Amino acid sequence: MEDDDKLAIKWFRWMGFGGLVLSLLVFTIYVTGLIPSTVSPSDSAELWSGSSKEYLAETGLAFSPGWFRTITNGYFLSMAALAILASTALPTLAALGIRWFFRRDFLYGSMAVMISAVLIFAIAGR
Amino acid sequence: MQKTIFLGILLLLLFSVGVFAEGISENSVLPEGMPWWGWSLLLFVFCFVLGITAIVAGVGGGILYVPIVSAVFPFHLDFVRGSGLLVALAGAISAAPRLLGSGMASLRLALPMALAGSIGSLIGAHVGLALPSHIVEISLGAVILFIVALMLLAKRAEYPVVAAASPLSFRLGISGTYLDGATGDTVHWKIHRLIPGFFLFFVIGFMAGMFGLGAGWANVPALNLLLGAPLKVSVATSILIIAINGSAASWVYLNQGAVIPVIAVPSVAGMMLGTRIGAKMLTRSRPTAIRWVVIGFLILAGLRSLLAGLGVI
Repeated sequence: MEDDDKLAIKWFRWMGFGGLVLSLLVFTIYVTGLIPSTVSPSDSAELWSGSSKEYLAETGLAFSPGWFRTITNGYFLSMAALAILASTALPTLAALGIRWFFRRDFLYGSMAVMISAVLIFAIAGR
Repeated sequence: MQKTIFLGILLLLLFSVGVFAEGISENSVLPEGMPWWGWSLLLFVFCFVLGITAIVAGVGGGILYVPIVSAVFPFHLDFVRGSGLLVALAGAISAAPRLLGSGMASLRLALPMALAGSIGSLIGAHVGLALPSHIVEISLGAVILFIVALMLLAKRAEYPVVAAASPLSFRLGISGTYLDGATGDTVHWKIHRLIPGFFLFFVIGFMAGMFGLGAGWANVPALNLLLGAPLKVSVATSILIIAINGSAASWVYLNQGAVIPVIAVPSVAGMMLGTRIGAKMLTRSRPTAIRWVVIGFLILAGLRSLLAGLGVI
């Protein structure tokens, strides 16, 4: 196995498994109501037959702008855990990109940076 | 260790949803008569069965999830597509380390294709959420029926013949060696037609982002038949590509309010558990019969989506 593969495996395991476990754990906290939420599960259920635009208009932000508001709100916390799962590729590619640049493999380094840029673009909501 | 933690939390989740949730949702009974947690539990069980079926039938979970869940559950297509992407992504992320470790998945092959695919999926997700629902439903129905045709007609080559690697793939060092467990042979492979493949992966990424379908159904034939990668390398590398491309599209859905935890989390958990159990059942099942049942379901789901989009049903 190559070193590049080992690095990718490490990040996929950390972020993927961590995101998955966190999603389940935080969702459990969310549905049990242990942490108050701006959007309760029953609120979501009343809106899930409408489009995402209607949902967002009713419930407000998809994400909280502040970390403190995120950790004190079950809904935002649950979304944040899913977001970690969805972000697995970013640190993996960033780590690989740095390694490839140091190794003077500029073609692959540039590709990793370009994909990371696309992911950052998506995360930023562009 | 990881499996134990995953199962422990899953049991805790099921227990919580069933016991505690009832108390906080007294006024949340839907017009259909079922409370939200009933739908979430039903979705979990449904996705668990879907996960087993997908593995035994030899198809990806993502391709089954969107058409069948949108046909059976009362959720808007936006949320089903958002959850479908997360289902495909979670499955790919959990499989990627093992495939990389076995030497089947190739990072050097995946990266150029993932670059094209991630740009395509980002644009596709934006287009999919901007279009009117009936247009998306008609397109989804047509794509599902096209996929069924692809499943029935596409030939696969275990070891495609690549006379000479294309100059670009040679320069990028895209080649590899792996030990085939079935034959015991060491297989050396190289690829050709990298530039057409790059454009094809943009289109595949666009469709995956637009419909939330995952993309194994298209990645594998493209890698195998167009680029000339061996079948096992194509399947493994396809999963690696989904793990990268799915990320960009998932974020578009997350940012635009098209992911709801009460739909996404039970779907991901059910599908992950189902695929693990499906993999164990694989040796005792009859894949051909189940594959035909899946194809039948996909035809029905594709037709339903097409007719619903056209306003016939």
